[in-house]
Amino acid sequence: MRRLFYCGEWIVSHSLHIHLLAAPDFFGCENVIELVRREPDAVRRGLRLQEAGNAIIELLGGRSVHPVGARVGGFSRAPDVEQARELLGRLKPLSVEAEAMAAWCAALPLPGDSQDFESVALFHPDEYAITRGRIRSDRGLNIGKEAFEKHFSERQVPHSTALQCLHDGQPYLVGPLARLNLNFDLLPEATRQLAASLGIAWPSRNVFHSVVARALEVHFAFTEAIRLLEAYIPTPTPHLTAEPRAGVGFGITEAPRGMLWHRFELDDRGQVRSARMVPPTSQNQARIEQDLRLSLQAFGMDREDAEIRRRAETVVRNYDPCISCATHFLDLRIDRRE
Amino acid sequence: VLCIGSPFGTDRLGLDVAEALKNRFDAKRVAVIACDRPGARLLEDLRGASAVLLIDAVRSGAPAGTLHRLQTDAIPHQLQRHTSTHGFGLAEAIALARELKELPERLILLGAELGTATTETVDRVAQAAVSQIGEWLAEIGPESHPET
Repeated sequence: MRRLFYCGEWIVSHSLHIHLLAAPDFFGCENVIELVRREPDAVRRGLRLQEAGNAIIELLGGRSVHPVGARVGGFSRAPDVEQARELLGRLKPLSVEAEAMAAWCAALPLPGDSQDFESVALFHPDEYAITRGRIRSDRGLNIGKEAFEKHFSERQVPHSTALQCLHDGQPYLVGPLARLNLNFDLLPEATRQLAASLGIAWPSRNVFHSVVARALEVHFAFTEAIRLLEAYIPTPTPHLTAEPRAGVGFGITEAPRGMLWHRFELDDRGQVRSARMVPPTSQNQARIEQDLRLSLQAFGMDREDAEIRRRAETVVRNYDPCISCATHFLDLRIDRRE
Repeated sequence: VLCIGSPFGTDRLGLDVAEALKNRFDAKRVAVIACDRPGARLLEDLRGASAVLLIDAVRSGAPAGTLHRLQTDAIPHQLQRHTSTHGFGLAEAIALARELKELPERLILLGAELGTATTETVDRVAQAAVSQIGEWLAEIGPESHPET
């Protein structure tokens, strides 16, 4: 059920990012309103996919107000069989739409800009990891979630209010492209075939391929949600009783934007003594800055300010920082020297 | 009736209004929906209704406690400066729905100016909104949307 829940979250988040933030940039549109004028069917399709993701979340009780679904030990209640079947019927025809969306994303005029970066994601030998696994990277990292703090540290920097998380002092990438780079072979057959048909070699060093990775993950999430719903049998024990005891616990999942790590320390009454959460946005922060520098050097600074601004914004939005920061985030000051 | 808000501070207004309107109308004809920062999800809620009233907190510089009432055509223009407190805001969602030709025939926004309003002010504005919504529903009446 948690995996299904996450499939819904991935579909909603990825579909919104692709259509509201990324695609307008690559079409040279100011925003999604302009994109609708050029690509109305693609935007409508994106919204249909996103709405199906919402329906998955709703099935599991994740209403947007007073969510009642997930709780310690499991879920408040198991979804009704009839509702699960209805949802399955709604999701099935959308796999084809997700396929078409992935092809549409792969055909976007994405800049061809290869960079050297480390991809970090959860890995599980039996599945495309979402809710469990070890932390792995394409540079040999392989650790359990309890060892996160030994290898990763957050720091503050004078020029930003955002924390930056580093792996052994270096920037790294989390999120759809990092996951695809590490776990491609664990995708379902249908998604792998789709990926192979798009003319992109995976793993990819081009961060702009993130938008295609997101689209492929939408296809994966539909395929996986359908598989889970087809096998669904309600349980009489949707959650286990958790007895409070003192200790330290860790949690790690793949949120839509990337790895999300938690550490909680409880006392014997179950009250939180200390908590630390490292969200994907802080993990990508240093990578975004590194990418900005490399991308703009590759783009060439001998251009109009507006063009440079546009490219810089495209680079940042490509990482899917949260929507409110991603629309007005760049204070560009160019100091040109002869 | 789409009541937009969040559980935080004065932004709870929309949720309070939804609570106050609960079970007041025939559910087959009038849906009262509480939306916690819906963003683009608002499009889904707008779809299929012949008339929609939205209530949300707005910021325009007017004194706390002011309740603005905007009709369809005034909404996008006004909201360009009167931003809602949420990320992909109301203005963007309405503009997107308009572009997709998915706006309901009638659309009204009740925008509550709250800022640092006291609990009493929020309660007073919520009450005013509830009675305006009741009057509006009576005004558009059953004959204005016979298909429901």
